[in-house]
Amino acid sequence: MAIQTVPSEATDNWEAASDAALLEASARQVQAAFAVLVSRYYKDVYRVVWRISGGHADTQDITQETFMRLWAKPTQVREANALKGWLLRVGSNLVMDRFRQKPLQELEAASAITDGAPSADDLLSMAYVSKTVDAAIAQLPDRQKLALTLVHFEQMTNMAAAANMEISVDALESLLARARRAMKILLGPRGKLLLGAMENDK
Amino acid sequence: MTRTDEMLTEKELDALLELASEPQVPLDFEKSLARRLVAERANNIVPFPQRIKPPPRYAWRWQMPAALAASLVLGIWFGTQGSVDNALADATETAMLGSANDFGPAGLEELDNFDLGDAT
Repeated sequence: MAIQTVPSEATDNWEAASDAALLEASARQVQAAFAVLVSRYYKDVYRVVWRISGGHADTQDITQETFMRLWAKPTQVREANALKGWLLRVGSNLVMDRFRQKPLQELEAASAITDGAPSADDLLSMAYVSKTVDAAIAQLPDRQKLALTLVHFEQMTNMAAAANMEISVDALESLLARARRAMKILLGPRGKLLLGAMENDK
Repeated sequence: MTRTDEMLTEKELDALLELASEPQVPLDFEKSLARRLVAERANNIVPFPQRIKPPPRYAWRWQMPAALAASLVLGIWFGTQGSVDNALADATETAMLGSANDFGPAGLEELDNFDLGDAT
């Protein structure tokens, strides 16, 4: 029997349920409850996995794997209130584990960027600018990338991001500072050039 | 080495980060996950592991004492026959003869012929 993804009376009943209630029901293999959990968090997990993997083609696979682990044993989430953090942590760990074994050779964002000087058309292309920034992010060490992703892109507070990464707030701030410094170096003069071109184009 | 004036400011970095790509979450994610869970469930049906039966204990309950008893009986029998003592004695004698031949008082010939001369 498949998980109910089509709204039904049974699913609607779970929509307003708390994470704790949904987890408890998932532990009893209530598929409708688990489907609500998936719909509640899969976009968050997908975004973080995508960012840390540098937009890798395995993003969907890894995100699915994250939810499959939850479905296999929902009781492993100790605090239901921190379910989102648990999912993000599992997702990011899966990315790091997978690419530790198989280095990021298929990095889509980075492969699109060449080291040569950008042409005038490139500078005015939003896609080029985005890919340049993506490529710089992709080159950061995993922990720095995760810190930057959680705080900057997922709008988490430093405290929430630190809790998610299971480190102190000081350690998180250190990671963030190093990530931003590395980004400045990686983007370097090209970053200024891109910003200047974007400003002139407005 | 990047020159300081070429480094981005915090504000410029934030502006560039805003321009990073936004991931496109696939629309069929939930259906795809549901299919995968169903497939995994089908693949994960495994029979309960068969309990490995330990060897019946009675099999060695009498074999071990029997083997010990047999070795004891053999030991006593050899002891009473004296064949082990004879074998030991022969072996010891051979070893002693061998050592006498091999490690005799070397250098005595030279000592016999040694001329002390007149010590006074």
